[in-house]
Amino acid sequence: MPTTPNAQNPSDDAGTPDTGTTGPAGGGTSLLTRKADKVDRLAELMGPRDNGTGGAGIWRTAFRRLRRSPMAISGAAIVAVFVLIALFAPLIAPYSATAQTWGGEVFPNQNIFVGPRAENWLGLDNLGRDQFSRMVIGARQTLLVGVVATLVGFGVGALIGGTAGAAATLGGRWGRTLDNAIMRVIDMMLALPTLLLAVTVAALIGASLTTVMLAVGIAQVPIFARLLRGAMIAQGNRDYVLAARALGVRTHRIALTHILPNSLGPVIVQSTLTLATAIIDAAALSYLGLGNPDPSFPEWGTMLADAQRFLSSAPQLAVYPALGIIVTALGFTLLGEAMREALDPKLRK
Amino acid sequence: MLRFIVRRTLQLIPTLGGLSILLFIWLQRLPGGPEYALLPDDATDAQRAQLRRSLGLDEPLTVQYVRFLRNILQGDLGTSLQTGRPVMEEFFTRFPATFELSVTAMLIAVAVGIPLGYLAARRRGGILDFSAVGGSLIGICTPVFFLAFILKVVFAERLGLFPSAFRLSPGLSRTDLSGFVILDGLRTGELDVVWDALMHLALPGLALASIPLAVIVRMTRASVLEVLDEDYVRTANAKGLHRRTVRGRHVLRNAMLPVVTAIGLLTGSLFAGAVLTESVFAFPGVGSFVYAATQTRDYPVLTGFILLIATMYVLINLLVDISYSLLDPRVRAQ
Amino acid sequence: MGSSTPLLAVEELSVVFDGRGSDEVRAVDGVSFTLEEGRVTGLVGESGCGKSVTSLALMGLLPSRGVRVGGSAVLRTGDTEVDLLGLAPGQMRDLRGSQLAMIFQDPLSSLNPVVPIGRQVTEILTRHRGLRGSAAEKEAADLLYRVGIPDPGRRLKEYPHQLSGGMRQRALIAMAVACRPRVMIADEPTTALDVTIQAQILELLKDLVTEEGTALLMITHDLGVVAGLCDDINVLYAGRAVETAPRAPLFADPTHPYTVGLLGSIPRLDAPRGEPLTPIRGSVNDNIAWADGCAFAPRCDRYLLDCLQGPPELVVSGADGTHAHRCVNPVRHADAAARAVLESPSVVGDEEESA
Repeated sequence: MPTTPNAQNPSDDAGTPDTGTTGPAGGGTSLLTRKADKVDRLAELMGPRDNGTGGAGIWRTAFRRLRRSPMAISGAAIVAVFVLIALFAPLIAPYSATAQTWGGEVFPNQNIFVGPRAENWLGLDNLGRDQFSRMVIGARQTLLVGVVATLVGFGVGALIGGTAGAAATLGGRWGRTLDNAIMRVIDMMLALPTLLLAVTVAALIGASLTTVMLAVGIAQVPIFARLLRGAMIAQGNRDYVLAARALGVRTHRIALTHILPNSLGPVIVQSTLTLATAIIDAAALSYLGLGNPDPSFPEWGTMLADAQRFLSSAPQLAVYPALGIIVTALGFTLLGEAMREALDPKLRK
Repeated sequence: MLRFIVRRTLQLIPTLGGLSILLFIWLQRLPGGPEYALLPDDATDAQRAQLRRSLGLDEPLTVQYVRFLRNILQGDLGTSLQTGRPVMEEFFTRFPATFELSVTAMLIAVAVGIPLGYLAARRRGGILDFSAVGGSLIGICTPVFFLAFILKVVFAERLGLFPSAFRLSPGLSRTDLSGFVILDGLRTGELDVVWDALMHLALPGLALASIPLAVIVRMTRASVLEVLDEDYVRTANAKGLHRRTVRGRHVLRNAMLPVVTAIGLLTGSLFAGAVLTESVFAFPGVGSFVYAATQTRDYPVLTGFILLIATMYVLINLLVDISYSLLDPRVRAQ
Repeated sequence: MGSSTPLLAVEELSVVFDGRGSDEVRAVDGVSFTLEEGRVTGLVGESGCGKSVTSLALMGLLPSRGVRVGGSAVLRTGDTEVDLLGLAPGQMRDLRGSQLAMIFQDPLSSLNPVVPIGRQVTEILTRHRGLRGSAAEKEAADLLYRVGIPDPGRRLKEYPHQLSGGMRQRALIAMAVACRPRVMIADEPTTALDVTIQAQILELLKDLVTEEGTALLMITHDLGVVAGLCDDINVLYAGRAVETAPRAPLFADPTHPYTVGLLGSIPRLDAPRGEPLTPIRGSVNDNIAWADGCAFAPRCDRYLLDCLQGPPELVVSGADGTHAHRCVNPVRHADAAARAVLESPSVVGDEEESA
């Protein structure tokens, strides 16, 4: 270090590594070096500066908060296990889920059931099928129902809500009228309990797995529509949208590049939560006899509904699928709630 | 205040009108349509056409809608395919049972949920908070009908603490005044009837209360936490007010505003839950009737039920809006 | 004024927040000042410098968990002295509102939106003076009238959203003075208000201090407010006082570069046209720990390596020992003059009127 100590500057920065930022002048001018030393020392004391507070900052901080939240971690773990089981179900299941291999050992009308044993980890169901295999294969159907229903709800809801929101924020008076009309309809749909809406759809188009997915999905449409519209209007009133409009950016570009991406947070949260609702509602529809009419095809809701008949004599038959539903729904709920908290600036303290 | 109520009531008319249109289109435009729902799957095309004519489905939509609306306004929701009696009549005889059940469930949910949510917020991060939040999450994720079955098997069949089915014990004599068992019992002084009815309401009420309870706990907790951070609570503390004054007048009163709205929204899901709960406990209300209707595709009953629930839902939310405006002066001013 | 025994003596007040998962934050780091009857003491600094936390600590309004408060704040009531920081929560509750009162920054959010103004005034009268019913209401109306709210009878029945911003702040002041407190803390009371209303509120505060002999702690970032109202001033930076002085010397002869910078950031009518303002560069987040040196160093034009030799001491510089600064390379009067921050008629001129 070529620093010349003087009366004013008796610091012992021999330990400070030369970062080579002394400029083209090299070690020539002591004034420059001294200044550089001062800057280095300051930078060192100020510690690492976090400059990532820009646009991506929200997501990055949200993610960082998620990683620290026990709620998010347990939720994500449950969801991950569930999805893995569902994806690799045929590889995991030791036996066929539909073959009544041990049909000769189970007599429901004589109250003879087979509980867990070495070859059948969770015992047999009322028709002598391996319960563990049915649970594993059932996970796949349950995931399918949840995902498809959520996609239906999200897709249709986002389309309706997005149109209404964009119309309300950018469409002037005509747009507000359109928004009003759309939201009246949505509010009326919201007036019906989701399960009832689903029951009606299912009752009118007949019982099948598709029915359940459609019914549960349609029941979620008003929620998604309202959510996306609300988020878009909230964003549309922000200053940056005003600024973009003042700069003459075309309205549909504003909607696509500014408002929509910033409105997505709550929608993603809602999708996660809807997955849980969809799984629970699907179970209720199955119980009402509106689910898959083919009982050989395992799905947790159908399994649970079927097992109700034997609840007094063989409660385990109901408890396994019920636990599956509760734990999975809990996983999605925990993850969704944790994401909501992480994204909510009000709760960020 | 009166003007506010009148205005909010008038605002209901377009909502209900729109709802009727929605329901009408819904019924007409669904794949298959009623002629598929009403007739067995192997019916011939001629039979279907015949039914369409007899139902007036070949007339212009506007004509059909006007007839649909007129029927509704006259209280004619059609005839149940299961019983052959008017849907309206079926509902009215069963409504008191469902009403008692729903009120019981809501009372349980509110009476337990609000104090629990409040305490959880006050002791944020404590054991009570953890179990209240965890319990309500599990409550939301548990299918209502499964919970109902578990309650029935454990408390009625195994432990025998409560009756497992029906609204009253068979053979119990009572004076029927209105169909509302508890009200009648109180008016005639037949307290054994009241007690019997309450015992019958306990388990289905608890099962039905699970979701509203879970929602109210979480809403109250979140709302109280938010209010505790408000500047005016700090002001109240800065004034040196007693802790109970701060909590009652400044925290709870403000924290209840969103909870009141949530309670209104929950009543809708309560009726849907009643369909599941009543069927498990063979509770003779609207719910178990509708459950039977879903099994037999009794479509006039389903339509009527939706309309009925939507109307009640709208009315309840009107009540909620009014009570909200009593609680929050800012709403009145708008 | 300037009695020898202060009403409230704050010694080495420190507030440390336990960072959740991250490092702890020393929001206030050894602040000392005194409040005297009938005098206004100012705490001045940018947002984040710890001035609001100081006031909340004195009022006992900081959250009970995750915060450590050190030092002492001795309040003299009659012949007895109590340390506010050592009181039990219940005793503190008895003092708040009666002996200590606070006026907050945002009058709208500081008033309960669903309770009528009257009730919010009477509840403090009921709590500390035992007034109830019509007696409390009459007193509340008197209070509102005293703080300049016309037609107080009607206003008592109204809700906060029905009042204008200035009116709300007056109502908050009415609540603060309801029990004639000895010490009043005003935390940026005029920041959320229009300029014309600001002046009225400041005038009102000034009158209340003169009439009642209340000691007022004025917390602000606005040097205009300080110039018009405060008798003694503490300039805070990153949780420490960097300069304390009576008003006249502070404005005439600022010594700490931060104070000089604050003064230089104010637009001046008497400056030559077109002369740029001289803002302090960087933000209050650009600082270093006091333990390592002067926290202001990263933003300071007069920064030397000496500044990083541990925390600078508070140095008394004025002839009468009232002017102190915490700087190793302070601005001398001549320097200040060179920087065109000389005393201005507007600032020093009204010194006489309130003295």
